[in-house]
Amino acid sequence: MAVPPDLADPPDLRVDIEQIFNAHFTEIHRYIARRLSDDTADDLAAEVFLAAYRGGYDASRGGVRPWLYGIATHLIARHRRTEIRRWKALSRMAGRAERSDEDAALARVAAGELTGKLAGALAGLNRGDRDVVLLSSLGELSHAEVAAALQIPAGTVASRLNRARKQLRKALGDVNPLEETHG
Amino acid sequence: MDELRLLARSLPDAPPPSAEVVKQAHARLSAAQQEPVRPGRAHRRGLVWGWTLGAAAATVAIVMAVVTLVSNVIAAPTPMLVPASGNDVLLRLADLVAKQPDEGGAYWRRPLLNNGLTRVRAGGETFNVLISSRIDLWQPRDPHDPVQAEQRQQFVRPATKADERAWRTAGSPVTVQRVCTPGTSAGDCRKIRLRSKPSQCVYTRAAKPSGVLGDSRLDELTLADLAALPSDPGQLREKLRTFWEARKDSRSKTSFEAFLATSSVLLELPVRPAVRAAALRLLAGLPTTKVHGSIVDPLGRPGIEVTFIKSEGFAGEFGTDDEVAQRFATVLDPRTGTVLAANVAIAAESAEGLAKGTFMDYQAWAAEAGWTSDRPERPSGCRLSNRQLS
Repeated sequence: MAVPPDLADPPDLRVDIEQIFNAHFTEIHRYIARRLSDDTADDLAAEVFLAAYRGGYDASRGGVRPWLYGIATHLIARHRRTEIRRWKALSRMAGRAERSDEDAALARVAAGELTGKLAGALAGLNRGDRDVVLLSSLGELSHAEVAAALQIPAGTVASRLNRARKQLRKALGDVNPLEETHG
Repeated sequence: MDELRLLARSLPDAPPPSAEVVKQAHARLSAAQQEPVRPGRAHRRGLVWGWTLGAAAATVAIVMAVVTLVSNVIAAPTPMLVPASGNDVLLRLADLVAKQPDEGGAYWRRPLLNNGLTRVRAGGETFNVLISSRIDLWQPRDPHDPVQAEQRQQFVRPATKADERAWRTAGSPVTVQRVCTPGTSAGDCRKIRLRSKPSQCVYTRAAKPSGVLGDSRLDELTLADLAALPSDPGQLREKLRTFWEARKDSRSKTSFEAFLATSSVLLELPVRPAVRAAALRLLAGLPTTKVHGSIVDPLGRPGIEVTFIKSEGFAGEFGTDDEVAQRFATVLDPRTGTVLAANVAIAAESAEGLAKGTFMDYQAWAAEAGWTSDRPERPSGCRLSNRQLS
């Protein structure tokens, strides 16, 4: 489906890009690295700030963080195949986690299984749902911030989250991870 | 604790970027700051946007073959030729339009074709189908007459001759499987039924005594409101300001300048030629307006390609490719200044099964658009609905 064009760039309110870079580079890098890889993040995180600088900060798009996360998410989208491969690999790897270690390792194995199931579920989500989920969880953005980041209605954010949550819950199956991970 | 926090905790974390990485990123940013400032866009894809007329013409020829439309233009003025791009093209078009007489007729027709290209698979073959739906709006001059809107699926067909060959090789299947990007759930990637005849027709028919038009993108307007619009660009601008102010509360984020760019909506409304001319002059003066030159629209008609709002740097899914660069265009009739096609998504790069320059989806105004002395007949084989059609 096509994305309809939005309004022409409104007048930019340029804020200090230097300050924005210093305050947010690390977290944007982390967000990208967790979805793709450290190496990719090295390059893409820099691109986020270049795009941010060139595009200019528009106050009507909400806060600085949603704006940066929105750009990052857009850039990540170009690496969709890489991301899906990553989640699938993680899902397989966790499934094969060795159980040879002693008790201390058991918790880690359980966590690994959990990670695997979640990663498998992430690979199966459609892109829009995955973006909303990961902006919410990894980026810790609120509904309103996710809406601003992706420039979609808040209602859409809510429905995508609902759908994705169901998938995640289904993937977790009968395991009761919400309790297991409390330890 | 819920699934989201569980995710954040369970997915592998990443180490912070090294000092070297931060330094390099910062250096790139500093270098960019030395560049001259240009009105950029955050979501730019860094591609050279080009328009391949050859590819476009090829697509156009095919679309023409499937959508046969009869022009109802009688004694049409000579189409304006577009010698070069530049917004003065719109000014010259405005001069032409301003001389045209007001149109008469009991009804104004807005027949819109919503067409889009989709990649599909069947019998070991992969090809494209064109999915077409149509909405016919009949807007009465007299608010006591019924407003009629009819919506139907027109057809789903192989898009080109080559696609048709692939479809035949596949055994001319009735249903085909959509090709989707990896990771799309089966529910979102359904089978498509090919159809050569219109189906799923629904219509509404009722008088709307208020006379308010369905298209409220500018404001809730009646034909009388449109008739009263000034034909002077400066006065029109001020009139638009009153519309903008009226909506300011609910859409406070939009600046007046941004709102003005959307006044291209006037070209899609039944306004007098003099008002359309004023709108063209107004739009020609906006920094957001860009004339891209001559184009053959998706239905094979010569037109002027123009953009009024942000139109580049977009992307859409096509087949397995989740990110095909697209640009959007509006095509104006070079005789009347009305819209021939809007929201025309054009592939800005080639992808599997898609040549750069191909029309991916669009909203085309069929040739019977405009004022007519005809009246809408109740469509046969069409379900009457109470639901508002847009």
